[in-house]
Amino acid sequence: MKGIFNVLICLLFPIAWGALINWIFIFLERRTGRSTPPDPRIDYHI
Amino acid sequence: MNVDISGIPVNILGLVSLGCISGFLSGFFGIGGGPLITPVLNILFGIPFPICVGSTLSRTAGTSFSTALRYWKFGDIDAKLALMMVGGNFVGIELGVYLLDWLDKLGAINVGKQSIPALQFYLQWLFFGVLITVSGLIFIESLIRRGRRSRKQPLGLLQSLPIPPYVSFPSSGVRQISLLAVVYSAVVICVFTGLLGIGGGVLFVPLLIYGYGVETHAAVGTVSLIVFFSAVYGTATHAMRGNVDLGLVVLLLIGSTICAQVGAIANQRIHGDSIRFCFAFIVLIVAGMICFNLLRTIYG
Repeated sequence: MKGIFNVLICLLFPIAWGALINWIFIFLERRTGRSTPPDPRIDYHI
Repeated sequence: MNVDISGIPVNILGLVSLGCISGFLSGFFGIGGGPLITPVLNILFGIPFPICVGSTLSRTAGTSFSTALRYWKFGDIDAKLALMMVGGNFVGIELGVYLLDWLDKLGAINVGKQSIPALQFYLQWLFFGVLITVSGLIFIESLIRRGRRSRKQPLGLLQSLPIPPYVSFPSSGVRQISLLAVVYSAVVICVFTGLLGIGGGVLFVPLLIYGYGVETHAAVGTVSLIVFFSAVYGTATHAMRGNVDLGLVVLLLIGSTICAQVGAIANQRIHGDSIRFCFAFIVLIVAGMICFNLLRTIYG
């Protein structure tokens, strides 16, 4: 039981953390009214 | 003049010299040097692998902090990408340390005519594989650079992975990529951080450039912050198991900090492609040293 719980933590924690950081950055961008500016040195492929 | 490192007398000048060489290589090639220091500490100085791994990570935390600060000043760090990978880094490191403990508990195995710790035997093989892969990646990267006519950023291979949810990294030039690809690749690479004591820079940089499609400057800067987070967490995890020897860390840092500046100055005077080939050559030398040691163990 403890092993299954550990495996679930290993699988879900990275996704939950990533989603949380993504949400925080989206929230900050909306609050400040600006998004991170693209780097002018980048030759974008899209 | 010797110093006691976990019960083994080690020459102080030898350790400072190793710190100097690793510092010069760090400054010269811009890569932490973990994959080179850990096996050398074990093979040349006879320090047990867990102590080598923990202490090398502690040293990497110090060097990567100053590097990350420098890149932060240049504006080359994508904080969102680095922070997003932290969760995966922690899980990967825990898995790596768990594997290290498990290998340590295996005890001794019979190889050839002698009995050696299973941990030492298997980790040397793993290091050999990692170093050969790293040198191969550098050679392939150099060939791709030579073959590429346009200066366009390559499209990341993992960008085409059709598994939602998706995230974007505007400041790195990544419009859309699967969150799972980002976090699980961090988990896989950081298993090596926990297990082998390598910061992961040599694996993260190609992943960000060719896997995610991140612009080269942003990739190198962001990786310095990722390595800092990994090294700090790895140091804490290993320190709780008694795997960090402060004396060893200090002696390595003395040489590293001074000679890293010399390496950085030397870097300015030599062409980038030559630097890469030199690094691949040094990595191959260390891999050869490990291979020789393994063959000596098996047939000697």
